[in-house]
Amino acid sequence: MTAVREQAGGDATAVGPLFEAEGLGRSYRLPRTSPFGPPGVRHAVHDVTLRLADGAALGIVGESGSGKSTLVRLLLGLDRPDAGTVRYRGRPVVPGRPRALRWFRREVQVVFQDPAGSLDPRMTVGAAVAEPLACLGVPGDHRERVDEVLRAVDLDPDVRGRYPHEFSGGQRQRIAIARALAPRPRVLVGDEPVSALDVAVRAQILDLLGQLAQRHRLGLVLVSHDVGVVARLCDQIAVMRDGTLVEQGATDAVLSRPAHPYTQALLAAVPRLPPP
Amino acid sequence: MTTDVALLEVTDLRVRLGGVDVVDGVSFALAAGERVGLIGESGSGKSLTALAVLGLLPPGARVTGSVRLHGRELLGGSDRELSRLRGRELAMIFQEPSTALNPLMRVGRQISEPLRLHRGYSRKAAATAAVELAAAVGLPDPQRLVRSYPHELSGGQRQRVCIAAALACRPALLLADEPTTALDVTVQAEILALLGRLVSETGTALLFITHDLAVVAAVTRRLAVLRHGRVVETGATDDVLRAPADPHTRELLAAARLTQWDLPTAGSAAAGTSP
Repeated sequence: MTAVREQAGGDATAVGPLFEAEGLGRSYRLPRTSPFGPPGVRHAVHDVTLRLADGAALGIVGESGSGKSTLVRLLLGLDRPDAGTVRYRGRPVVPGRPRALRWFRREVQVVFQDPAGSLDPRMTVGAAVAEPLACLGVPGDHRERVDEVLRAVDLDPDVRGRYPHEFSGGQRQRIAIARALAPRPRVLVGDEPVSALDVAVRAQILDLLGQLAQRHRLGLVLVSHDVGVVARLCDQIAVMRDGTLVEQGATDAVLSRPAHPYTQALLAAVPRLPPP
Repeated sequence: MTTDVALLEVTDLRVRLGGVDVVDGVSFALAAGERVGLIGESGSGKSLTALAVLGLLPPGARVTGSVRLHGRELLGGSDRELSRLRGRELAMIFQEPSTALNPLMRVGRQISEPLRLHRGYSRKAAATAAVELAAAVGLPDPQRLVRSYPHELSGGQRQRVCIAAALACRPALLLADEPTTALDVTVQAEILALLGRLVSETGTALLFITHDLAVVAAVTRRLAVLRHGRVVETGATDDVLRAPADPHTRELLAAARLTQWDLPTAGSAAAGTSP
């Protein structure tokens, strides 16, 4: 959609996948069970390997405690893996000084579950949406870009002077999406982006994410406990349990012929509506 | 008014909170042993309707209308009268089993508390009953489990504890407010199946409150759709979900269908569907 992206896109296709995670692991120490015993270890993420092609949509599903959020933190360079690597367009993503990952943050943006928690209540919508532009040193007219992304998420640009509390949950999530889009990312990561919303609003936000991804050729990484949400937006699906990926593949294939017993149990547990 | 008395009859219920009618003239009835769903989005008034039935509305709420249980008016009843009914005739389970349970009390005592209060069980008889009830709701190693505290249990196990306590006195009516919303889907399927089995065994009527249309389809036979504190549609669950008459119900249903993927073949019925 811009000269910057076209240019960057040229060499990306030559490099191959956007994201590559190889043998990714992250464990946490648990409290000792006895004063002299060794501390326990919890493998929140264990030996995870996955890829995201340019413009593809990958969904990661799993139940609570399966390690989805830890995996997201590793992919975003917010946490350091103790095994394996994350690469983005061939370059390692390692947490360090904020400036060191600027190049990566411009390209990969995130939307979290709770829009109320991810927006500063004392910051106007305009300031919140412009913040990543300033922090990441994005060139160009920031005011103009803010209006552009607010329109892209179907908000009136005149809302820029208002504060988050004046908006409904769905509108706040639109603001969070606008902020993520502002630096013209190539990949949008959503960590349960619609889980806090009512059904009808959830459907609108899912549609919006789908439209935006298509219009801007955005790669999507969507993490959710809800198989249906992932099925709606993603062409690839990875099923996570106890820190490992038990199954991954094309969404249609996994949903119609789940191979792993856990995937089968998970799909069978989802309540179904009667056919219309 | 002799033979045809509904178990629960709610007529023109209004709850006024902060100058707003958050429940705005709701009427519905439940027969003994019947399973009815109350659905709607957040703020539609479904939870307050349940709390009004139990007499548990927050202070400052003004209630009018009528709530009759076995033909007897509950609204305006004294707290003492209602206390005699809650846990015995009426019971409730909530969305968050962790906050519904007392963190300082062993789960066995919480399960059998209604029996001690309403049925005069001795400490010893209550302890025995707690183990039986824990086993009946499928808790593992019930002998040991009754001696643990809520934090030692998983979310699904805590909800089983709440169900055991709620059904201990075999109430005529169980109100369940989003009882599986905080749980993982696989656990949700187990809890829905358990709830379905237990209410049919005990003959308890169920008022099931949820925003989730697929869940309501699995559990209830009839439903009422609430919006802005009003009932916009009622009917048999299957009929309403197949051919909703109200535009708002249609909108909710369309939204819910968006995240239902196509099943590959017929025959692989969803678990959690009650018999």
